[in-house]
Amino acid sequence: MRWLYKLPLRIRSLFKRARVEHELSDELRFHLEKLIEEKVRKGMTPDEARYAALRELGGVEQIKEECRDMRRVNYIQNFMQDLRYGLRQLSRNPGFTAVAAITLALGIGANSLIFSVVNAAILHPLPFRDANRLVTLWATSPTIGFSGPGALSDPDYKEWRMQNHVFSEIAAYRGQPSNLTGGGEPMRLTGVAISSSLLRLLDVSPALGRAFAPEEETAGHNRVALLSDRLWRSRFGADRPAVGRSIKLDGEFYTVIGVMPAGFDFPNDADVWIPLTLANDAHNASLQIVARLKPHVTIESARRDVALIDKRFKEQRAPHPAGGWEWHIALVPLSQAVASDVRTPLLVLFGAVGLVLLIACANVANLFLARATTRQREIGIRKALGAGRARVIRQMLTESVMMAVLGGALGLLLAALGQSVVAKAASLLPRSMASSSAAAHIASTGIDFWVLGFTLAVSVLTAVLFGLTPAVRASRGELSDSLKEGGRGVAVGRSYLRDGIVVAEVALALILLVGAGLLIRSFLGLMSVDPGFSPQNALTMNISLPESRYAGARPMIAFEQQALDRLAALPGVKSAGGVFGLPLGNGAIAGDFTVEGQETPPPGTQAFIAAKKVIGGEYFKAIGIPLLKGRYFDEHDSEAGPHVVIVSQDLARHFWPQGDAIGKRLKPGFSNDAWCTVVGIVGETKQYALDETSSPSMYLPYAQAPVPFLMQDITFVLRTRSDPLSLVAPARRAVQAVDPDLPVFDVATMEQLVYKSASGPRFNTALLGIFAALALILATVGVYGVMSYTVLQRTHEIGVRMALGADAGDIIRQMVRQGMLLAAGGIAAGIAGAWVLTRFLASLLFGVRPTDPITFALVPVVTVVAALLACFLPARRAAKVDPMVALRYE
Amino acid sequence: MSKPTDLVQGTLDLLILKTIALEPMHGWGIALRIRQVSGEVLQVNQGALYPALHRLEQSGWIRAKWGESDNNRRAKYYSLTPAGSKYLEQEEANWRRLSSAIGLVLETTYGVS
Repeated sequence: MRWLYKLPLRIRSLFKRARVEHELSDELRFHLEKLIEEKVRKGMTPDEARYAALRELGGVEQIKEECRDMRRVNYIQNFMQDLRYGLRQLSRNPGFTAVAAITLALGIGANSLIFSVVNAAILHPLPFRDANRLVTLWATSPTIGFSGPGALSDPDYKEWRMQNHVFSEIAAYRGQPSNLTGGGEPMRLTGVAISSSLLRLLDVSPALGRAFAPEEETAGHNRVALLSDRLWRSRFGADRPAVGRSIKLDGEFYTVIGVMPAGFDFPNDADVWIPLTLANDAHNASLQIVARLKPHVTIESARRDVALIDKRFKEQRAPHPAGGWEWHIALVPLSQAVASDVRTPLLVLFGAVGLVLLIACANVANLFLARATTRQREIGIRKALGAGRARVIRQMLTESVMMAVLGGALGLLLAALGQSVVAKAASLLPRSMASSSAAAHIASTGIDFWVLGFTLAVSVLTAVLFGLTPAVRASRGELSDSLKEGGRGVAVGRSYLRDGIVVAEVALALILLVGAGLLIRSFLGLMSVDPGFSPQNALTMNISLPESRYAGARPMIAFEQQALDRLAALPGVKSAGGVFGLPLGNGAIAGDFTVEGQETPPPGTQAFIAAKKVIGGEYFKAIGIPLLKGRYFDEHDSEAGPHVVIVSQDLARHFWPQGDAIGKRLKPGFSNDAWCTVVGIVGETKQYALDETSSPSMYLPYAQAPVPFLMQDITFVLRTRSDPLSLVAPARRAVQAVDPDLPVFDVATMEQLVYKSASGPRFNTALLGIFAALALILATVGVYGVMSYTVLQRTHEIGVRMALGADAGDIIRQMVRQGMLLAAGGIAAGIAGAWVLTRFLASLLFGVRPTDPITFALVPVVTVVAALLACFLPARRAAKVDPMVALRYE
Repeated sequence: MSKPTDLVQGTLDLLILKTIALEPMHGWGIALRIRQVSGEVLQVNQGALYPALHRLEQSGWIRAKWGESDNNRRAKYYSLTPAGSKYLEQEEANWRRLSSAIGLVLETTYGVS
């Protein structure tokens, strides 16, 4: 029942402050008057009585303050007061405020930026409803160490659809790129065949028109298509009547039944979706599975269920097409599948940015510490007026929070500006299932609720980090000390805390620099790897021959012949060739094969895998792969001629270590195999990435391709006399002269492809390098700040020394020595820390150990130079001090 | 006059509450009454009195009203709230228990020495 009395009081104290203050004064005045009366009655004169009474009463202000404290609403009032005071303080020292705010903005902004990337890529990578209930099934093979993602076959999917209990919805898809012709330039589309359940599963509906019906998954009814918003706008002018129109994909007519909403491009930059028609082929696996867990099923129980069903399947069906390896089906949450190859680099970056923020906080802490010592007088007065220690601390903490909020707001601004830059850079990240949609997601999400909350939390944390210590330090100290004239405060001379902070800063910066140095060396190593071919002056372009117009080998061989003839005839082209399986291109078919006279390895052991490529024209000459032994393909190696093959060096060495590969025979490992005789050995190339160890390959003539699908996609390679890009248009025209309805896509020079293949490491190195540089700058500023302050404090002492005969050189030397001692401490600590921490970078390094001696030697040198600079400038200022002025300085 | 004994906060609260239980009083009056009744032993420090009064008011044990003092000057009069008088009873009982316990210990010690 007490609240009946308490509440009106609180409200009154809040809103009728002036009246309440008035009353307090009145109350105490009444008391004073009564006291004076009593003393007068006892016999004092009125004046004596007054003095005595005042003395007896004690500090009126203090009593008032204590009474105010008792009224618990004080907290709010004090807070408002602190805010106003803090604002005044900050605006009166614009230099201090600016430096501190910018330092914090850099630290907090960088953090927010990386966090929003992490948010979009790892934490919430999927813009679908209840995305954490979505899972995918991967085929894995523990025997060969393949942990996925492996595709499933069509019959497998059918079984899973029937037999599972844990999925409320299951869907499948596979890539089906196609040529769009008619109505303009022929265009290569990224197409996806999807089951009708997929859109329902993802809870996405077309923006226009309708989704696929289950009946449309059967042959004869499946010539319908859904367009992406991007395609609809660019190719069909965003016309509503596009729905219902017919389009020609790979020579077949499809009816457009709808357009998907903007931003939807599942799974990866898709342009068009068509219904998935399941086949009965158990020998080829090409399906990706997505499923939604039933509402109360946990991932663990789903995993168990999947393992059980998988076991049952194995007992029922035939061994897997990939030669008897043990395949398992694994259940993986979709969000994890999407972000798998971005996780490590992003987390490393996150750590780096955290360190930068720590350094920024250290700098600002030092700034605040320095300022706190100069405010000792003010604090002394406050305490004399009755401020408790807690009150003083609270007030200084409020200032810190304000500074942090200011820095945070600026940082958020910086992060917002940096969004678009990072989103663009993020699209260069290694291909994962949704990396380009992650980039789009980042760009579109921008500053979302999570990032805002994160920034706020970080701001408050940093305020506490850098504000607490100075506040506590300042609130201590003897009253009389502070109030004396010229009281320089708590610590005259060396402040161990400040020095310690600077040492820590330098150490942290050094750790970052070592990390960046390692990545830079690793990246340089990567770029200097010999790819096995000549990237200069080589142009590549892709075409895809649709089955509808190129049925069987004859027409395709005819096309290839004519196209290569025309391309080779272009002025500016030295040699022209074609290949299916371009190095560092879109991948290649690989598998095992049979070698005459050598046993096939038993099932379950690792078979020798080679890339199987089909080439035409003067491919090796065009791309610059050297011929080591034997001969190139020639006109004898035609469709009717004896079957031949060229192998790469590693393959030859593996099977014929005596070096007599020429003349031996092998079977490439396709359904209608023939024995092929080895006629040549060529050099090795990098196939998938520059940092791989070995990618042995076998090359078959185009005319003798074992299966049609090896002939459908051709990458033309042209060796040019001059700038390859100048030949793009003529080459296009040459190909389209043979077939005008064929889109020429993915045109790039080999140099561009090599560049692109290193984009992941490039991105990581660039970002970490930027943060390391930032850290170094901040640490240098920190050292500079501390040295400047030391010089300031010791001006008096310096004046004395100079008056006693020390010259400028002496002073400079002494100051620099003092500063370098600090830096040396930081460097030593940093090296120790780096030694321990760089092992976490190991997975990102190529050809460089985490304890690389060169990096560990060079980075301290760089740091020493920076520290020297930071010490030298204030030292020079110290030497310029006029002794007369210095001696008078208090 | 013997040195005024230092009064612990809880004890001061008790004295104030008891004093105004009899009749509403202003701060000066409370201090005067306590001094008189205790035979000048307990001299309440003004620096402690008013914060205590305000604290008790904030806690809802007592309430204040402005009125006219004996010589027609405005003064702030404090009186007990219902919750306050219950609180007073409680604290009184606690005090008696505490002081008799202390007394027992002192007697025993006295006996031994």
